[in-house]
Amino acid sequence: MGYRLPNTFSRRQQLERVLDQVQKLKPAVFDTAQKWPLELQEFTQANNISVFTTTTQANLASYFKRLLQSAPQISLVMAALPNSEEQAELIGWLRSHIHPQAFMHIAQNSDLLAGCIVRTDNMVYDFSLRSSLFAQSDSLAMRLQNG
Amino acid sequence: MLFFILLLVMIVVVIVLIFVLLLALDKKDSSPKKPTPIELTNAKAKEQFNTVLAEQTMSLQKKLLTSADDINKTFIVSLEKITNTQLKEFTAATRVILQKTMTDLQSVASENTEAAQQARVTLATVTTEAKVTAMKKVDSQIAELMISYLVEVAGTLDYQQQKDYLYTALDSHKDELKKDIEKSVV
Repeated sequence: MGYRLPNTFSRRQQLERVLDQVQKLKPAVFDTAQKWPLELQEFTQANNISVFTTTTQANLASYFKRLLQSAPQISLVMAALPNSEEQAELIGWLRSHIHPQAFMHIAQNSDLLAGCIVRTDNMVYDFSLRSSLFAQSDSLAMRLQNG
Repeated sequence: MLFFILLLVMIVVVIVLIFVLLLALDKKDSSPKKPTPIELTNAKAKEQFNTVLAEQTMSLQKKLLTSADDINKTFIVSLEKITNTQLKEFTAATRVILQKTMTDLQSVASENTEAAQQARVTLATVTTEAKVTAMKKVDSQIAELMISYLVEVAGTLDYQQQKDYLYTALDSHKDELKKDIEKSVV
């Protein structure tokens, strides 16, 4: 069964937490959504789940475990860190254009000036403004000399 | 009797004289005072001080206005220093290469033979290569200085300011990224 990943779930640590929350959810609160942990509430609201059953619990746990094993993680080193809304927007873009189950890990390096460095399992892509400037250093120097 | 009259007259004269003297003194006190030499010197000194103060203030204002220009001049001076140093090295390096090559090729360079022609071509190539290498080094140093300056000045860009650049960069390479991710996913 497929579920929709909300854009607020952008990091693997969130996935690990919500798996733990699902596994530990007690039957006594199965029909009381307000008593579920917040992150689980976010996920269930995005997927229109208002009542838990043991089947739902098992399905969700299985889904989250599969995701943890197979969902790709994209590491981004950015010049400036986005806030939570901006992170949701960014993961939304990655899931629309790169992979629907992608998660991201963000670190900061202000020396990049702007843009980011993207790391996948196989490759490193430097989309920083700093490296772009150095790549154009010949034409930059020529422009400077020509005034 | 006469003595007493004379004595009386003398007393009256003395009284009149004293009276006249007192009147004369009073007139002198009420007339305006002329400044003393010390007072005159202090006024001149004050005027001179105010003039110098005004001049220094104008000079300082001018310096403050030109300080932004000075920053730009320092940057340009640094660029010039690097360029001049490299050009000197280039000139010295080229001279060494030329001398060495001339020593090696001098015996055949003057002859009008195929070997001589080849020697001339080799000589020209060597000098051009040396020039290109030296100029590339100048260019990369200039570029590094400029980029470091840009990073120093613009290093506080926040996420919103660079968001468009980020998405443009990601968008232009999305196919590459997609293929790479698909390869790594089981």
